[in-house]
Amino acid sequence: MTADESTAATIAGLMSAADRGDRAASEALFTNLYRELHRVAARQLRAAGGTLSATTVLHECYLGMAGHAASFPDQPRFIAYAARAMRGLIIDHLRERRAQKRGGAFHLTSLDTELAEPLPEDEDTLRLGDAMEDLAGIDAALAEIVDLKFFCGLTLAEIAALRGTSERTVQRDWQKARLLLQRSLQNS
Amino acid sequence: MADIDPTRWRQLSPLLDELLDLAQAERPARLEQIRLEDRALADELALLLAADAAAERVNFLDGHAEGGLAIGSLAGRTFGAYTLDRQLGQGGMGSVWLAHRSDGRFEGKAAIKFLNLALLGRGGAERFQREGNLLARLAHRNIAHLTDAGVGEDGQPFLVLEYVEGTAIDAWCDARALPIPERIRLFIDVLVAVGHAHSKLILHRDLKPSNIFVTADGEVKLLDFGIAKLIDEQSTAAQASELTRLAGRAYTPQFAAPEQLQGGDISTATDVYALGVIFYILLCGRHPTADPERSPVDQLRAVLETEPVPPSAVAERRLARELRGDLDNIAAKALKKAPHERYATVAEFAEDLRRYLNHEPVSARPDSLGYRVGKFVRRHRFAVAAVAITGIALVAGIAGTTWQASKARRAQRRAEDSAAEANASRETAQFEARVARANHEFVSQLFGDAMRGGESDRMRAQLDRARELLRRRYADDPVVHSLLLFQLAGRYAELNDEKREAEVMQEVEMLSERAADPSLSAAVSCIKAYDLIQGGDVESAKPHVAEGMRLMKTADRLLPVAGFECYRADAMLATATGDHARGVAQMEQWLRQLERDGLEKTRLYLNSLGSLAYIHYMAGNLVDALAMSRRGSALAELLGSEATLSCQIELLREAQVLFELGRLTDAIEVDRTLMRRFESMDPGGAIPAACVHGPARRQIAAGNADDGMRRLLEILPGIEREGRAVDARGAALELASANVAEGRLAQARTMLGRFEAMLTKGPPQPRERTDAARIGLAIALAARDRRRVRPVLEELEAALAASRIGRPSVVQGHLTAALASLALGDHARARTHAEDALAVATTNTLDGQGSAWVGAAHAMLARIDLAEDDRAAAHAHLATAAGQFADTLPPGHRWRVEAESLRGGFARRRA
Repeated sequence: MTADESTAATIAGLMSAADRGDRAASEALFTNLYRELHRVAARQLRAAGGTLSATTVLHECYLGMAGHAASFPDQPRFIAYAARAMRGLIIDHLRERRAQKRGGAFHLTSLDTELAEPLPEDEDTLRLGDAMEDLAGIDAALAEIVDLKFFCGLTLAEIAALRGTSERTVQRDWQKARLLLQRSLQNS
Repeated sequence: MADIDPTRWRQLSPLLDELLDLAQAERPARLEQIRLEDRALADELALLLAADAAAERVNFLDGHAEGGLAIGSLAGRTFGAYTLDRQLGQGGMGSVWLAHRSDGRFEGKAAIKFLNLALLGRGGAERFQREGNLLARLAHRNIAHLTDAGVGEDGQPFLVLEYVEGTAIDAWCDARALPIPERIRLFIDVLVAVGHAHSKLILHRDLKPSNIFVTADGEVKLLDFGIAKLIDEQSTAAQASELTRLAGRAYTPQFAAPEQLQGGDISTATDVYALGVIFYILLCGRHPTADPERSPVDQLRAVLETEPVPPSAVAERRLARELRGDLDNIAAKALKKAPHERYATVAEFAEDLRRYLNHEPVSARPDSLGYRVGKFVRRHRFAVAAVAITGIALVAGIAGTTWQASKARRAQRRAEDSAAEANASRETAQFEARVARANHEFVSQLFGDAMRGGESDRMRAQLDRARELLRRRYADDPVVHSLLLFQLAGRYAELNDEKREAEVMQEVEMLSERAADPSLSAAVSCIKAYDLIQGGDVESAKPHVAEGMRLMKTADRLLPVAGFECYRADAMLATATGDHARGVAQMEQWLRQLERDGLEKTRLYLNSLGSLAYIHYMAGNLVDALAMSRRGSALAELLGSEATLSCQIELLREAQVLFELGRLTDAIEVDRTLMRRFESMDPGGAIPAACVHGPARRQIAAGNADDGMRRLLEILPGIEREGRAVDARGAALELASANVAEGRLAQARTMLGRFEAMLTKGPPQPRERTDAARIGLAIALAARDRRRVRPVLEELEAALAASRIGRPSVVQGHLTAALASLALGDHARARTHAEDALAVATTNTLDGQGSAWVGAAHAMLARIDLAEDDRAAAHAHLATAAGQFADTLPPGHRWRVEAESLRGGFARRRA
């Protein structure tokens, strides 16, 4: 069994266990998925040298593992689990960058680029990480939507397809998730 | 979020679903319901909804976080002569990197901007580079220089820009607590830099504080000049995908001018507006229209609708006194909704500021009404959204509408003096003209549309308010006030409110005396003349027309409304005095002038077409009249005005002309369309009296005499009371005629007497004389009053001889005269009349189409032939008559039946 094969098998196994409600398995699943995503993202960055999207990373990661295990769960299930790991990956990445900034003389300069929707500032994204933990405590399904949409870059339509619900429902859940997060960030 | 736990959330969540599904306006009511049961719950929901609005407003979590992953990946790569060092910023427009030259030559640092465009193809890349090179020629020490525009090997477009270290202008001023005069001096530098770019015909299109930097030395630097356009054009040129199309909307909503939000044309005035917003922020620290408490949509609406509160009213108290007056006025002028009302150039803007600093008088004048309008809008935001838009458009838009043609001409003349400014100036002028015209059309449309849903009461109330608003706003500008009142009068007319229309026109008359503006006085004079002509008092109209034409020629600028009124009155006067050729020529000349001024898609043109149709009609050129009417109807449809009264008048005319051309069934069909329109405009509402007469008359002619007579009787007292003599006499004659045909001779005599009693202002018009004589003759014939037949026949013949224009009334006159001659046994006289009738009827036919009048003349000839026992000739005439009647009269029509029975009798005799 190659390293890839064993990783794929491990993750497949952990997913089944997590599906059954095994808490320890879901922790381990998160760790494994995180590591896998990180590996794929880093490889992609090296290879492409340019930008790459979280969505691509997710798909790459899935394809890589599905090809290495006989009975790997289907992509929707995989993405549902991996989305949370992706959030962790991004938040950690930002945290790391902030650490660099503190050390170096990061000088925010002039050129304004906020013509279209601005991405949230790094600082906000980090606070968002905490708010997401709270949100997951209130309603895990809502947190998952944020993971999928904001952290993984899926569209609402894709999320609806993934969950087998209507886009309207996803839209409304997204709205609720967003207002809870907004409120949480306002209060903090 | 400590206050919300999963249990609480399970309670809140379904209610939130419900509330979020409701329209914004319906939410408070539902919340109140919930509050009755659980106060705390409702409060919590309200807070969550507020959070939703806040999230929506700041685009919270729009886009996604993946950008973070890419950071670092481009460092060290080279683009052109530059090596990337680190990312400076990232946003929807693209990312910006700090770079240094890597080709050995040291020219310091540069900023490289990668644009989020779909990768450019071959043609696109060249265009991008070309456009970029144009921008690169823009050199000014206060404008960050664009060094290069290029496309990377992978097709990624990038710009190389002067690297500026500095702070956004608002932050810079605030950080130093800069006093107002210092802020103004700094801002003048900004204006001078923008003015330089404008002189090179480059607009910024995305001015905002974060694009205006102040360096450590206190020097202003404008960033991203012209780049918004570059992006927009590339996006459209590249057959924009959804993504680039969105990215291509390259402006910042908070600083966008109304015309940008409405997708209108962009001009130097667009930059002036953005500069106005920045100036306002520098003065008082807040945005002129954006209220953070409101939704993004409301904020955008505010850009279009809300007049900013003067900076002095929102500034801290210690500043208020400094701002009040000139600075308030200057900001207000820069922030006008209508581009043409703003400072025409940034230089003018700067000049006013310099004057302010030097304590000299400034050009911007107080504009208190705008603020009142703003308050009005806010107060009635929900109740009368439509009014608010109309009201504002009235105030902001129409004011300039009627000036545009002459303005454009003047601008072009001016432009010839200065080759450099030619394009910009002409474009600006044409732009203004277009905007003003569009505005005007839009407003007219709004009023017109509102009639559709039977909302005339509401519209009337809105018009009344607009009238009041104008009175306050333009107290010191009688010309503009009058021009706007003309519009109002027209709208009242469309609502069929003649009383208010007259009041408004009276107001205009008073204003014109005060204004002493030749063009305006000409319009007023000619409107008076027109009303007199319509009232049948041609003689009194003459001096007014002469005065109007004289004034019009002395005016150094011609208001379109004056041109229209004077040409129309002159043409109508010519027509009324029998000089039809001159009438037609005058109207045609006016139409050509409108075409030259590019005004052929306006309501003014529509009305002018209508007048020409009318004059053709009066001149007896029925075919031309029909063509003009149909052109008018088509234009009305194009302008979307088919629900307005002016279009109904075209239909009315079309029906009348068709009727006179002998196309009775077609005419009735048009009348039906007309009635349907009225019904949809104002269900169950009364049809304007002016629009009843014609259809009723045609109904009678079509054989539906009872309905037609009933309708005429209904309107007769009203029009008599209102002193509309011509209409009243026409209705009386029509009623008399219909009564004879129905054999009710007493009623016919009464109506004829009533008609004669109405002839208080001189002799009847030729047509009236013919009709009255014909009806008198018909009564005598029906009463077998042989003694009266002969003298009345002679009177009819005299009237016919005096008629210069062939009309149904002449045809009918000849036919009745023929019938009377036959009764007197004078066959030759009868034949002469019948042949005259045929000749007149034949000249008024549409090519290749039948005419009921031609048919009637043939039927009369057949009658005479039969009386003379010439069966072959009678047979031929009856066959012709039957053919003419077949597609022009409804089945069962009296004439058709008579012709058939004649043929039948004839056939029996032959047998």
